[in-house]
Amino acid sequence: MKYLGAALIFFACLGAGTSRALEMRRRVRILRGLTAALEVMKSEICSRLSPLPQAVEAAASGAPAELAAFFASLRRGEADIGDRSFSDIWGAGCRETLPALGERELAALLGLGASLGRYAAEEQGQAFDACAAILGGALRTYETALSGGMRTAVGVWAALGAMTVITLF
Amino acid sequence: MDGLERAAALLPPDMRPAALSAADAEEFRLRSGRRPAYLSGDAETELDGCRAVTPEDLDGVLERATRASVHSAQSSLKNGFVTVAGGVRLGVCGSVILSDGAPAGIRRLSGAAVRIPRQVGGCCDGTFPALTDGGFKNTLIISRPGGGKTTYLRELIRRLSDSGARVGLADERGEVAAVWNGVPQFDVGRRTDVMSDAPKAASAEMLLRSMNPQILAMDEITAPGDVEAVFDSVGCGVKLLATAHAGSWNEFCSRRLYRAIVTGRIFKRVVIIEANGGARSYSVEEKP
Repeated sequence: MKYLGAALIFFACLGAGTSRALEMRRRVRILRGLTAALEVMKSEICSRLSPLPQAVEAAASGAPAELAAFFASLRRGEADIGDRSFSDIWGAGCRETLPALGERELAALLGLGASLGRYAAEEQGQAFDACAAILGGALRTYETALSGGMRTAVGVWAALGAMTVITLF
Repeated sequence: MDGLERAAALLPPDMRPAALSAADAEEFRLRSGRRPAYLSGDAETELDGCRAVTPEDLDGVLERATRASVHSAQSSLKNGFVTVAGGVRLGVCGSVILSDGAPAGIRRLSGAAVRIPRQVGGCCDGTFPALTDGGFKNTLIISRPGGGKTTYLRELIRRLSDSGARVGLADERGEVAAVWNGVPQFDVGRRTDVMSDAPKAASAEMLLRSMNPQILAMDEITAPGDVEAVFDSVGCGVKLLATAHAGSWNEFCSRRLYRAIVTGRIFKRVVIIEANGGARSYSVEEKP
């Protein structure tokens, strides 16, 4: 019984470490996907003057699975344009489907949403650039942390588990 | 969805029921700080039970009209209007953005006019035989603003096109065919080719070069460039069909802009539309 309890504590800590590491990896994938998707949207809007639903569609077609729910919520929301502003639809999509993002990244996306479709292409281009700068900065930070941090995170949590077991028994 | 419903759908949600109850509305008028109104004939009436329009309401109207894609409509917005699905036309006014001295867009909207599209089938039935007697000739349609020129022109184009003529339509403001996503929202006939959103002279030249029209139609000759388009086209072997603002032929002749057209005897037939209240009367005059 004693050994079973010790094993449970150790593996719980190991699991927590692994989960944190995977979450970090997922966040990086989301940020990479978002950065690429926003680049596509910017090209569609600023270079081709495509209507927003078309720009969203173009961005969605190459987006990773982590962003599927986000683009699905935008598509659903497009039917409500007229009763809701696109900025509301975009904001709701970000809040509901991208909880892995940090506050700063989320605020950058919401700021972009306030400009999308409302202004001339050039002004929207500037909003895309501002958002991309923040997302890009966050992405670099997470990537750096991820490159050395994944094993460390798992190791630290595993060590914490081992120490707890030793202390208790 | 009919024209009234499409037009009402552009308004703020709380104003739509009142707008839908204005069955005889020809246009909805929204001015910042004022209650919304509708236009019927010459009379403007406030919509019942509506609050005053705010600048945010006007932004919302534009967002709905462009399907949240103001950038896609920028080329027509700089001329002060946007064509919407179903042929509804949204005119806007506000602070004009200038680029190299020319309008490049509008911001801080202060007012909007939502024009309700109507295709009045049969409005040229009475005059069609006179206009095609001995073959179609260069024809000018005149009336006062809001007299129904565009509606008449659209119907005449449809009749001419469906009776076998190849018609090229230079639809600078998108009011005649109201092309939206590449599809004319009004029936302009089976053999009509539409060039939209470019100045008439440029559209006419492109149509002549690429579509080989037999009749070249254009709405509202209002600027020196439009008169040039008339002269450029007339020597190319096509028949012209155009409209202009004037209450009568004499009034048309008295305007300096049109002097060259009159002295050049370009138009051989003139359709005069007179509005008496809601009813319109149409007459055809032959010119030497």
